[in-house]
Amino acid sequence: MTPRLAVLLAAVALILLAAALREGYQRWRSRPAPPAEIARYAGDAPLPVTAYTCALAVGALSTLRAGEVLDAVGCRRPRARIKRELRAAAEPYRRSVLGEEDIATAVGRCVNDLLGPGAETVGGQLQGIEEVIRHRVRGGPELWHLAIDEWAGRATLPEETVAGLHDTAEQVERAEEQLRRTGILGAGEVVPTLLAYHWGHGVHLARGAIKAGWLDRTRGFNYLRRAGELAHRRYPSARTLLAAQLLPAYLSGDAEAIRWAEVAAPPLLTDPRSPLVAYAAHQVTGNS
Amino acid sequence: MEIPTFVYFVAPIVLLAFVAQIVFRMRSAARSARGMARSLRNVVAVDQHEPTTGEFAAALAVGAHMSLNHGVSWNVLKDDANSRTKIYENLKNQWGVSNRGELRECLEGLLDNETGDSVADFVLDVRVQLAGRRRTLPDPHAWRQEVAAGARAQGVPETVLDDMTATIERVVRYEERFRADGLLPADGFVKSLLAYDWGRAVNMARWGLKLRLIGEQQAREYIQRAGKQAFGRYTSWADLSAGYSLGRVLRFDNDEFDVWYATVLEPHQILLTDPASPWLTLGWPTQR
Repeated sequence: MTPRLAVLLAAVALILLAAALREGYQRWRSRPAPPAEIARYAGDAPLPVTAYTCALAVGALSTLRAGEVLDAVGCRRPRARIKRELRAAAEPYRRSVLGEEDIATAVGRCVNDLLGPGAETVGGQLQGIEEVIRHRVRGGPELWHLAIDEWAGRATLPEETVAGLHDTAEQVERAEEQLRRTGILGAGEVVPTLLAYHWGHGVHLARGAIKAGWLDRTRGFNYLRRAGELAHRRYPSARTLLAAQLLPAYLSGDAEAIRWAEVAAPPLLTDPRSPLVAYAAHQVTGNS
Repeated sequence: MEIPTFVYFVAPIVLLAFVAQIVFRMRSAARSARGMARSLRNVVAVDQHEPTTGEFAAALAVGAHMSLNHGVSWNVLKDDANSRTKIYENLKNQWGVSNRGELRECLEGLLDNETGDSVADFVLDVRVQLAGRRRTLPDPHAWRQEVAAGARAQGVPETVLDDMTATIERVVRYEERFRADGLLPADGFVKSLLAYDWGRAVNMARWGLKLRLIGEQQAREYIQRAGKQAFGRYTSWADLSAGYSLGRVLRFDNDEFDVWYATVLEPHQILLTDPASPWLTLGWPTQR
């Protein structure tokens, strides 16, 4: 081997090594952070009820997971961290028929998908579970299985599908029982809808996008108020609001998520600084 | 120190491939520049060598919205503004079409009597029937009730009914804006979104011909089918335009009334005012 060839090979090897190191570093940087277990608060006083309290309550779980403060609309985490999180969430929205969208547009679309005109529709893998839950709302807990049969008859569903629906209903009942044992759901309470699962994520992203300057402030605040209003209408208590966001993890048997929920979620229902405590008070005064 | 012999063979090949790639890209960009320039100028392009009157020209005019957005002359059978490479990439990435079979399937899908949005089809059909019975545009409340009653009678899932309700809200909002912007007359409403599919079918046939995925005769037949269906369903070019516009914004705009909304409002205004527009030079063909 001539010295020139050796230098050539060494240069190529160095380039490959640098590329590998860069890729490794980028992966390390974009790895999901472990979910925080202790809630962070900006202040020490109990949270007063404002136009955004309900929205903060909706986003509390996602916010806690990300290590953000729960009791203020303005985020306190470093912008770089928020932007990294937003970029990951908005990635599926980056490409459209018009070409590559800028990040602010993609983030706007992502938040709009969660809190915009389709906010009261459940999509993706949760749709089947939501459908079953909706028949409990229609018929009441005692007549749940009858309501499923009644609908299945109207829709002329095959027997196997109907059996699958009853099976899902039983899984939901078991998961709710587990949530009651953990102290998240109260006695006799049930999850009225899974919509908060999307809203919680949306509120957290909207807050971050406002802070990052990737979402117009007025538009962002409108989303937050809307999320609060929707939650106020759909969830009779803070416990049901929280349980709705945890139910999918319990149904899928995600052991790590369940362990985290059992440690991190119950204090949100008792800490006077928590927006969920303010939400509970708001529901009582608002409905009385 | 000697340079290894293989370098003398590999280096020119690599260099040649690099230069060829640049040449091909520049050629493709130059061919697409005309379309980009036209779409930026927002003028109706006409090919003076192609017929501008007659049955076939009228069928081509059904795709005028999209021709204008892509800078294509409205009266050409073969796309005259975009390179094959660009069209191929567009079809592959946005439509999942890369061979004859897929193109045929796509065209047949566009030319049937259903859009990709069965929820929107259902709610608009219900409104047309309701308006026919009442001889006036029903208010949103009556429309929602009729949709809920019709959907429940058919055993439509509750989650899909939520989608229907959300779609009604969206249609109402868009139509209000359409009326304010002159896309609809004061008492007008959109009866069907099929214009969006048929308008795209005209352009899909154009692209297929350009990529030699279909022959000229087949392209003509597809375009004539699109025209025949449009002239049987709608009552005027403005009516067709409103149907096309609503289909496009419901699919892409996400209630932002921003870039996507502009891609339907501007062409609508141009096509109804530019003296070169077929919507002014051609009368609305009555169903033959």
